[in-house]
Amino acid sequence: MTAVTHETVASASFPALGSEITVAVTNPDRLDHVVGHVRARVDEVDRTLSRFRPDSELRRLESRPGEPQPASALFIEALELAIMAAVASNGLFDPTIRDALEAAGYDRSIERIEAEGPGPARPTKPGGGWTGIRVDRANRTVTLPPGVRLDFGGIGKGLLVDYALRTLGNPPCGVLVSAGGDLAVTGPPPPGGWRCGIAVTPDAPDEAVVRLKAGALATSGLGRRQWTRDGQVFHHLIDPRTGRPGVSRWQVVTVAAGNCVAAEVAAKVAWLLDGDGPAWVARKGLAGRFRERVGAVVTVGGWPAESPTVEGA
Amino acid sequence: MRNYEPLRHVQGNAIDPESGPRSGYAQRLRLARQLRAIRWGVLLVGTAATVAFSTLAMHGTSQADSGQATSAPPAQLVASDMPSQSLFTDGLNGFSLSPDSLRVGGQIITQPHARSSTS
Repeated sequence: MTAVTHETVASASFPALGSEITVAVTNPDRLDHVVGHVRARVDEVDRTLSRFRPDSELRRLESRPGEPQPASALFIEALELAIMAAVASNGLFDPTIRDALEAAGYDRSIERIEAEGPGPARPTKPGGGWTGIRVDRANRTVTLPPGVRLDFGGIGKGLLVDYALRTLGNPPCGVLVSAGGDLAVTGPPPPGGWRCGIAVTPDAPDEAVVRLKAGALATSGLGRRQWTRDGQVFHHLIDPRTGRPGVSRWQVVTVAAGNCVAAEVAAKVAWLLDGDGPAWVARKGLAGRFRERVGAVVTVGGWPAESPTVEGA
Repeated sequence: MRNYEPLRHVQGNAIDPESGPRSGYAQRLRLARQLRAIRWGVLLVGTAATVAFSTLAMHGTSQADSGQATSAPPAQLVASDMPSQSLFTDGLNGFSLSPDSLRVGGQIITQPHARSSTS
């Protein structure tokens, strides 16, 4: 774990869920406590939602399709959020594109893909399996249709951030939690707000900086999770309409929303919507920053305007 | 507003299975009254269900935001039951964003509190 003190803010980072988890607090004395809390939530989310862990709740539920299976409150919450996201995006967000992801080669953790190469080519199919999922809240059961396999991916990270923050209650200091660049804040922010850099990848230079006093930011697009198979570039942003990696004019899309799940879903959908993304984000009442591959930037919904030249790009 | 498929099922069962269908104007009138009453009943039940679902959805959202445990309402949900806008509802007012600069005092700041990026 690495710890940093910057102005009045102390932060620490550690690797988890194929990403880096960052915790920042406005009272350095609270850092260890909050980091411990977040670590426990990371472990809980991983045991519940991971598609890579053979002992995860997700893998257990998938082993008996077509029958109601008991599920934890966290799993039911994740599944309901994912289905709500699918409904709100007319299916462009789809938690059931796991087969398509694996067909594109993403059949193991991203660390293993980077070390060993992607999985073999397989037949793919469009998404839409979420329409047949049943959630019984009263009996806390979930029924997955045969042939439907789930991938919570980015929404799982968003849920982790929201879950970690809300289970802190009302912290006496400001807290920021980031899971691989999807972040949210709670409590009193540092003076002026949390200073958040916007970048394509975690190690790339910041292209812009905004101050966040409340809510969440999430960035989706083409960054680290890309790989090459037979000379062709693949990535993890599957278009459910085709079952193949999507095509978009945007390199990355960053969205600000009231919570991290909404920001993460909106960023992904807006990226897939290509040229229609900015108008969609504005219609949802959110703020967004769209960075084209050539470097031009479009901002909508109250996102601070930027100069035409992107610094550090 | 959601469609209530059970309306059609109730209409299909409107004939009393024990006494069977009767002939004549009075029978048709009675049947029409029964159908009307059933339609009103279905409408009332549907309205009550809509209000109950909306209340539960808002209750769950507010509880989630406040950190309380979400109670399990007695409902079986499928995708068509999910409200399409609720995921983004609190996105309307739930964030506060203001501009900042990459440069402070002529220096490029490379150490923000956090960074939003792909991962």
